[in-house]
Amino acid sequence: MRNDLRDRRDADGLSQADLADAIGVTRQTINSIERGRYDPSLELAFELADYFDTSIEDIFDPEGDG
Amino acid sequence: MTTTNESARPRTTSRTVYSLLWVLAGVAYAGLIVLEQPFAAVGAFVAFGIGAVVYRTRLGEPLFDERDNRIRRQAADFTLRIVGIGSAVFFPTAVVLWGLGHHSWPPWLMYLGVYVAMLTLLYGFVTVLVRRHR
Repeated sequence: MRNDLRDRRDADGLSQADLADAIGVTRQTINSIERGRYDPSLELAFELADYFDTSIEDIFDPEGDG
Repeated sequence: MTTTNESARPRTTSRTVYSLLWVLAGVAYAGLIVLEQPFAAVGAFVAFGIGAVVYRTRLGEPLFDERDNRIRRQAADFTLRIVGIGSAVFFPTAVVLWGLGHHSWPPWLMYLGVYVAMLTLLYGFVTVLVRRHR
């Protein structure tokens, strides 16, 4: 599943670790999501959307592949 | 620009320490058993195990997240499949060979067979329990 998490994170000047700490997951999880190797749970997807003040479908594209 | 090679965070170190304590528990346990020190083996395992649990408890934050849990579930699933498929091939083959007189049936193989059967029954029981709660 494609996503623009890295673009959003970079735009906010956040490191992967910063975002991970803010969301309550490990840096490796953020890294895996950005690389399209891990699809987050619905709960985590909502947390990411809330953090960036947007909707899940704005961050994640279910049609995309990685 | 942020890269994927950022420096490790304290949580990563904490996970390493926690995992290392369990590895030490296992190595000490096995090593002392090989050295025929059964009480020391159990003592070392309990000591390292308690150390790991206390360490994790005192951290005050989750050590593993949902991705770790999913990895563990996937690993457990694969492990169970390997054991299941392996047993489904190995034990009937061993029984046929035993029946044909080409293979003896040592006690350890019987214990292994009982263990696998109990594991399969436990899996079925837990599956029913989980299904009833969903």
